[in-house]
Amino acid sequence: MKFLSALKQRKIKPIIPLGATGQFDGRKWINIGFMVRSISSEGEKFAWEEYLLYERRLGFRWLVLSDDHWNFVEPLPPGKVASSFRGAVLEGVEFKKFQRGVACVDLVYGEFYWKVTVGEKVEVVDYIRPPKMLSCEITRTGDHPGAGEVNWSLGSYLNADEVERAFDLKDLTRPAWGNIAPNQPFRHKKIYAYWGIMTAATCLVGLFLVIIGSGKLVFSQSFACEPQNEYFSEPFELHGRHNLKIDVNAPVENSWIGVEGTLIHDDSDITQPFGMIVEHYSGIEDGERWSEGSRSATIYLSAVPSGKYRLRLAFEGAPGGIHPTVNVSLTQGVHRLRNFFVVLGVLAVIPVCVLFYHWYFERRRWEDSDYSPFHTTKKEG
Amino acid sequence: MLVKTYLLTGIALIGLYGVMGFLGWEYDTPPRQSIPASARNTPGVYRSHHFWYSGYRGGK
Repeated sequence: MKFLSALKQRKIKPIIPLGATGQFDGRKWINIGFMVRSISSEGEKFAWEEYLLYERRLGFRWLVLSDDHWNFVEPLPPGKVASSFRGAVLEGVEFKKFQRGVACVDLVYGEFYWKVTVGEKVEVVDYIRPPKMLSCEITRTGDHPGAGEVNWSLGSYLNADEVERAFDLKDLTRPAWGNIAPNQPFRHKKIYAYWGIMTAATCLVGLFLVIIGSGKLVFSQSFACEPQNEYFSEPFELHGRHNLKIDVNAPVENSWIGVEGTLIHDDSDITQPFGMIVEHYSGIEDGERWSEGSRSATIYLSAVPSGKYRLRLAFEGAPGGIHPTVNVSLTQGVHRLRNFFVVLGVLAVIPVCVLFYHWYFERRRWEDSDYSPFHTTKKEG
Repeated sequence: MLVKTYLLTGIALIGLYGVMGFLGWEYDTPPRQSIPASARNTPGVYRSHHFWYSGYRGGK
C-alpha cells in the first residue's frame, strides 16, 4: 500500500508533533492526539491523518490531513443538520453527498476524549460545499440497523500555508497538480465576476464614445477616376481629438482601383498620407456564382490637429480597365466598432481558459465520488 | 495571482480603449509626414512610393 509505505518512510511520525501548539483565529490549540484512519474501497485503501486539537474554552477540534490537503474540523451539535434530497442541509445551506464508506482506525497516538482502539469502525458519509465539508459518522450499536450514535462535524478547507503559519512548520507537502480535494475551493472563481463587470464597463465606455463622437460628414465628392491625375479638394475644417474615417466607393467589376490620398494642413507642414484599394471580382465557375472583394473600402486615421485641411487624391486602376467614378467621403468622430469587439475578445480570453480549467477541476474533484454529477450512472446509497 | 493580473490587465485595456476613443487615436494610421509649404508647390511631391511602387497589380 502506497500509504503504508509512505508512513514507514516517515516512521509513522505525526507531521505536527504531539504537544505542539498552533494558532487558528487567534486561539491557541494544542495537539494532543494523532490518529490514522482509512477506508477500503474496491480493494484500495484510502487513508488520512487526524490531529486532535484542544483549546481550554472551545474544547476539541480536528486537523485532518488527507492526500496533502488540510481541513479544520469542528463538531456540530445534534439536530443542526437536516437531510435533503441531494444531501444534507446546514443552516439553510445545502451540501451535496460526496462519499460514503466505513472508516477504520489504523493507528493511534496521544490522548483522546473517548477510548479509541485500532480496528474501531464507523460509517462515514461526506457532503461537500467547497470550501466546507459536512461529515456524518455513525457508530453502530447493537444489532438493530437503526441503532447507533450519529456525530456531525463541519470541515473547512485550509491551505498548507495556513497550517505552516499556525504551527510554525516548514516545507509541508503541497498537493500535486490535478490532486483536488473534495471540498477544495476553486480559487479563480472571482474571475467570472470581474469578467462580467469589465464587460459591462467596456459597454459603458463604448456607449460614452458613441455619444461624444460627432460622426460628422466633413467631405464627400465624386471623382472621374483618371489615372496619373491629381485632385485637390476645397479646404475644409477638421477638429482635433476626433478620429477620421475615409470611405471610398467605386463600381468596379473584375477590376481594381487604388486610391492614394494625403490630408494637407493649410497652416503647418503636417500631412497625413493614406492608401486604399477597392477591388471586386465575380464570375460563374462549375455552374456556381462566386464573388470576392468589395466595391467599397474604409480606412480610419488618428485625429489631426484642428485647422483647415485639403484632401489630395490620386487614382490608379487595372491596366486597360474601365475607369469609373469614385466617391470619396470623410467623416470625423466615428466610434470604431472593431476596437470595442477587440477589447471584449481580449477580456474573454483568460476567463474562457479558466472556464475550461474549472470544468476539469470539478471533474477531478468528483472522480473518486460515487455521486459524481459527471458520471452517467450513479450508485445509490 | 491570476485574478489580480486579469483585473489589472482588464482595467488597463478598458482604459486604453477609452483614452484611444476619446483622443481619436487609431493604432493602424500610417505615419504622418512633414512637408514644408515650399516643397508642396513642387509638382508630384506627394507621390508616395509605398503605394504606386509596391508592385500591386490587383486581380485574381
